[in-house]
Amino acid sequence: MSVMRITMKHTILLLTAVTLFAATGSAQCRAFTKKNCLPTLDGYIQNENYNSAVLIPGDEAELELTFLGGVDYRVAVCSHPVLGEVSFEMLDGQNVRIWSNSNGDDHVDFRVENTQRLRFKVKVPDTDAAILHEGCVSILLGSKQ
Amino acid sequence: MNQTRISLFPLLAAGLMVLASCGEPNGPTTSGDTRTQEVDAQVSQRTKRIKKIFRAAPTPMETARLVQKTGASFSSENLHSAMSAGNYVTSEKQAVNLGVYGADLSYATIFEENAISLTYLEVVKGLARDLGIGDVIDDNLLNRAEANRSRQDSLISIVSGAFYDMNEKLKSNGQEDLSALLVASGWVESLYLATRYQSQANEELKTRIAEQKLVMEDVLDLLGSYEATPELQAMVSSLQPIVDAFAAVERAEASNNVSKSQGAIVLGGGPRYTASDETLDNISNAVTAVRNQLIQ
Repeated sequence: MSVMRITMKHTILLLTAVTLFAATGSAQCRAFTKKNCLPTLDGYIQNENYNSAVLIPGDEAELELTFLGGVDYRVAVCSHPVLGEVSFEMLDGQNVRIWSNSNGDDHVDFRVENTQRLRFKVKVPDTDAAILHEGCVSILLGSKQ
Repeated sequence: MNQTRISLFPLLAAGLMVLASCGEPNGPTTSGDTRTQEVDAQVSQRTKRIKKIFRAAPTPMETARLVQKTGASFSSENLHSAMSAGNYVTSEKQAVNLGVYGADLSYATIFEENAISLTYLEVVKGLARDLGIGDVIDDNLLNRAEANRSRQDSLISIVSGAFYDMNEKLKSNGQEDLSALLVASGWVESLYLATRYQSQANEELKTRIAEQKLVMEDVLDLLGSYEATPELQAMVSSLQPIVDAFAAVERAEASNNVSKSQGAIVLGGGPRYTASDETLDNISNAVTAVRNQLIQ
């Protein structure tokens, strides 16, 4: 009985530690985004949605949303250097690729004539390394008129 | 054997705690600081690849700017009464009405009703505090807003930044459902304000309202992307009259043509949305009913 109680106590302790560990990763991502990514939207009003995640090599992220006609937008992708150069592309509602960051750009500026949905795909490059490092990836949106 | 297993738990837990405590940066650093980069990155605990899908929607601030450009007017009578903010005691109601008041704040700011903006910023601060994210809107932020009350760009930036921080904080605290409720109710309120002058609306405003069908889909996708709590399900159900009203909006397909202007990509063409006056009236009525239910 007492062994069971000790096991339970330690399990709770372990769960607490895991939660703390996850929360710290999330806090790091917030701090990283604030410090290193938000300045990319200089001159634009940041969209209020927070789109950040801790990713590892080979992971993908996607954001699809509506862009309003007649508004100037900037969409930026910001990732931790440990992940290497992430690829980033913009597709329209018919899945046609409009733009990609083949030249290493970290953002794209655009305007749509008619309101429409666009999709942004981000891919963290794969690695052969035995140890996988994780890092924060954020997709940021800004607008101005 | 049991004893061996038991003794591993504290070791493992302690190891995780050490890793966690090592990860947090201790002080301010600059973006090029290699120490920060080393501290921020760590060995992953997982090896399985994932595809992370983010859901988002245009903000009330964006919608308010478009509505203002159509020549629409502003009336403080359409805003939700600031006096009602103390009526909300559950976290779900507080999140919903934080979204409503946030949209009111965005409209007041865009229409340069600065005194109203500052009042609603105080209201937002109170609800944020009730939700446990009050540190986002501290006295320093309120003082900056007061000092910049005549500078619209600064106020827009302060309000948008505050809502970004609140959204981020709710998501980071594991309260994604509350963050989704905030976005959904903010959208309803911004659409409510946009449809107040429908009888005098010009063609541009009518088109902007019809196009909100797409934003509605963003909002529904966002609500559907989280675990279906009773509160999220209730929000989806309460939006149904609006979904029904938007069903009559017509969409004409057209391909995009891509060009460039001053370094920016311009997507010409694309789908067009239109709605008859009857459909717009139905949307307006449905939005009014849903909005009045949300603020109860």
